[in-house]
Amino acid sequence: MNRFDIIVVGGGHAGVEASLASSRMGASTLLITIDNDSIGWMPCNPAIGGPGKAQIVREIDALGGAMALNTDETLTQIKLLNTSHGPAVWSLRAQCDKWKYSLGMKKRVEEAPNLHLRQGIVSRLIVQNDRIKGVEVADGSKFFADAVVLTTGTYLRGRIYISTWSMEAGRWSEPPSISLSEQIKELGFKMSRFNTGTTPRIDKRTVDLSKFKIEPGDFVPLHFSFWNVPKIYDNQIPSYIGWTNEKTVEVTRKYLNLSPSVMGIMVRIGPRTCPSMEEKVRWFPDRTRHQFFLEQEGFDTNEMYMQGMYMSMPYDMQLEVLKTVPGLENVEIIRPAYVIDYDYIIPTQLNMNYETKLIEGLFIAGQPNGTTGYDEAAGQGLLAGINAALKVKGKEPFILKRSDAYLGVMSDDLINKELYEPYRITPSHCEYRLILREDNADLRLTRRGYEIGVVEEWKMKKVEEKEYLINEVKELIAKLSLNPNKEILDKLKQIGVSDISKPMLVADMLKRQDFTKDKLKKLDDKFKKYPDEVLEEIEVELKYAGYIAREKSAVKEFVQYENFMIPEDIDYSSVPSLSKEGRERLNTIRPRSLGQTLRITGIRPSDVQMLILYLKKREGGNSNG
Amino acid sequence: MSDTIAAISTPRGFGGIGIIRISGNDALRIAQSILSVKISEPNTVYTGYVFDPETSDKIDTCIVLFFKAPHSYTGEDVVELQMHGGIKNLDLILGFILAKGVRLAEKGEFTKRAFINGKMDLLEAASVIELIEAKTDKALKLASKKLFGIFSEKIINFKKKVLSLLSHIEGVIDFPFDVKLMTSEEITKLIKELIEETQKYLSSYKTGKMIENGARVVIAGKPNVGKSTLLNVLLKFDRAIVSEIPGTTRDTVEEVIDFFGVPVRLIDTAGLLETGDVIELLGAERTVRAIEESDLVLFVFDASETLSLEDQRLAELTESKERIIVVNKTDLPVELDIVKLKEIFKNDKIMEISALKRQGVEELENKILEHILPSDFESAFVTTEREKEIFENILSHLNGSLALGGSGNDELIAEELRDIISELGSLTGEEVGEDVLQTIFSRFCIGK
Repeated sequence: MNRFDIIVVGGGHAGVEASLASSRMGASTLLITIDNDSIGWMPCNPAIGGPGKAQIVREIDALGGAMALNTDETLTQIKLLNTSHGPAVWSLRAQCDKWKYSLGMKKRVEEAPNLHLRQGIVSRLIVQNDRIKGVEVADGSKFFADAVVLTTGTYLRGRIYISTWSMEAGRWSEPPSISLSEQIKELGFKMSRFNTGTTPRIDKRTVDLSKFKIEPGDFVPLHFSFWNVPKIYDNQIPSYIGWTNEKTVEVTRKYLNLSPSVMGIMVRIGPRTCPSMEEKVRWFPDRTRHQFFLEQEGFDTNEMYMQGMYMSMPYDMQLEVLKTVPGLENVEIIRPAYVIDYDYIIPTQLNMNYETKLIEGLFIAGQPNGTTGYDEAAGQGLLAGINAALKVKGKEPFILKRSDAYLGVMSDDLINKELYEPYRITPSHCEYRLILREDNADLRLTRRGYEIGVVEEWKMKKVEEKEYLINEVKELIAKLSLNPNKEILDKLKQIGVSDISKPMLVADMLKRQDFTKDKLKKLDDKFKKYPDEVLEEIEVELKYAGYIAREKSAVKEFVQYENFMIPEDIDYSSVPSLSKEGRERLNTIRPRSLGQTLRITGIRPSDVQMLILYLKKREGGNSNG
Repeated sequence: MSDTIAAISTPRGFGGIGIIRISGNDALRIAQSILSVKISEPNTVYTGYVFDPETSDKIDTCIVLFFKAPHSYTGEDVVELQMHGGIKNLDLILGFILAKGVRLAEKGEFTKRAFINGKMDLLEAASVIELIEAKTDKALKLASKKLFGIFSEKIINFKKKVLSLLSHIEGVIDFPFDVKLMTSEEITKLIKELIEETQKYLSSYKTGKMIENGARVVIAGKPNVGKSTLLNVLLKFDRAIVSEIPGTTRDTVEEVIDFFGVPVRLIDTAGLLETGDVIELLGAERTVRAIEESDLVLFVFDASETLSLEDQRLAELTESKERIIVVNKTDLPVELDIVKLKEIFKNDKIMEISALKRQGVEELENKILEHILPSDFESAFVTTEREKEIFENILSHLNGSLALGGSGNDELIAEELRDIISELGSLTGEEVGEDVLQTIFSRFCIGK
């Protein structure tokens, strides 16, 4: 069999979600991966979630994706972050057993109907008349499909470095895709190059953990996936926090010139949010105390990841640097830290559905779009897989707006804004984060996913039940009034809620800071039967009510601009008074809506003004269209 | 590419010099087609003559200036033709240019293009019109400051402060492991500083508006206390009809004067005398309205008469306004109970003058100036209603953040600060609603 509806190239986090999504939608899908033993592999930190990322993982979950489910099954530690702020920015983070995680994903892929798996290195895309036809594998065999999703991670002309030593590789011990990258360039795509790195892995037995601050997980009921019941994970592995000192910085400074980016043998642009030890010393020369984490990579291993200790100097020197830290005097490095640089395809060449503007039927997701992070890759993979399936079926694309989801924010950023470093999602990217919370991703997205066939019916039923219960409680609390009689006042005092002086609706009580869902249950047995997530939803919406209303009206205005469509045949050379840069950008990106135009890097407000005037004039003078 | 526009940039009339400005890609080519001299170098003065492209007749001598994009007012190629300033002459030559396919510039379009091409921000662009319309030297000074970006700089600094607080809060939310949150006291302190600064800007609006639009100073008082005489003294010429008969000034009399650099609209009111006279009643009604709209009331009393019921009514009417009590006719024997007057108006300054004899007038003028022009007037740059509204919105967001301080809802403080950034953006034009640009540039006249 060599003919499929869809081919997904690459079995990382993007490829897994893409192929699972398209096969779930009934499209026969082929997943080609370089190494079948590393499906869903986490070559860097085996952690899922964190601020912004957790929202993405929950949204993937709400749309039927695998990441959250697989995380719940393989995690070694789970925490709810940002609880010192309000619930809108609470974010789950889990560490996983990286082997179990990969195995779990492999099993999901193997068991998925309509999904076929092949090991092989894709050497070439088969393109005819600017349309994708299939792919060719290094051994010469060909596979044909109507849509191809490229999720090739750091493999495009990937090269890894430890100081002056380097080799071509997609990551440690795996070959890169050289010819594929060259062909993509020949097809006319604009490409650039980023770097990223990873930390040494050290032997836990050689670390004196008593010298570090222990950082355990949370032992309260939690779950990443909406489809699992929250539970307390008893069997969690703690992390450890350590700090560098003057000596560490001094030793690092000695070897700065051995870092390949300083020597100029590799590209310098990497994620600023993950600076290497060398970069920390260069950028913050006065600081000596840098925090790092020790995180065990799985249940059945002694290897520890060192979050914050990215390096690119030679092995011996890495060791010398580490040994300056108390507790690491006898440390042994099992795998040295290394850096990698790789090609990415400038993502403004994509349409909002992740299909390239240049080659019809070719979709790109994950690191080849210049992003960093498993969560970001998985989110793009899911959307690309969904849209490839919709394309094959001749259906309308599935586009999430910035006001719909963090996934929409990420897509919109990638397609409109210039990338200055690998893209990582964080809450600060999101304008509507009081509405786009991780706790309500299912309520926001599951129905939409069900409508396009990417979410199973039982999940839809579960969300409908949650909606039903939410409405039931809302009606209850809108009618239920508390009178300031002795019985009620005693009860309030007992559960630690300040007095009331006049009758008050429970709905209004919940707006108060000192009245929570747990107190509601203690106040009145009626509420005991409702699941926590139902009550939490109501509480959050009530506590934020004023601000949510403001955000909703901002969304209304935003959507107006989004729905102000720009005709596809617009000729920007006939729009008067545009700035030179603005005209160029509009010509390359060709935004679909006025709203999108507002967010394109290099577009000035005045350009938007001119465009509005032009479109209004055109609309007025052409009553037929 | 943007089309080429042209307009007569000097006022219509018979002037010594008239200038036609052409801007756009075709500016040089078109200008060249009616000029005798070859223009090759930018920023060089050429002299020659303009000829009729149809008949080749010489029309006028001409000085030509050529500015090459982006080094011009609009940021495009600009040619300025300086000729003799007659209406016929300039219209004829502009006609030649328009016949070549150049469009007549809309109101303010040259400045609009300068804004579009990034030559100035919105505050600076708006100041161009303020500069042109400046009625007095102080108004001119303010407009110049805006034009040279001094206020834009203040806004940029203010924005920097908001951004630094915002990015700190966002940083803590984005990277909880790496960034440590300031204490709520530290955040509150920063917000309070921003509130103080905003209030300063807002309070400068009154001054700014007065300098830009003029202060309204109303002269009120019962009939025949010498209001019109006072008006004439302040105007330094006779304008209102002055007579001995009460109620002679039947309407409000208005005059705009340059009052030590501030445009002042002086309004003389009819008395509130209750007669059957329809015209008199109408005048009284206008008096009430004039007082309501005023920035300062000069409440005039006749030193030679006792206090009356009407004085009392006027006192009530002007109670909420800034006012100066003027005791006039001090050259006559004093009948007025000054002690009682001081008691009634204990919060107001009382000035004794004789308008007729020009006594105490200079002191009064200084007092008026103090009221309409606080000493920090040079920092006043909130001059328009739009700018005032923006700062009011900013203040309300800051107060919102202050109310949240310490509640652990930093994400909500961030919401408020984000709204402030977008308000500031609309002030400088980085973020502009559909209507705002149109409103601003429609105030310009053609050729600017």
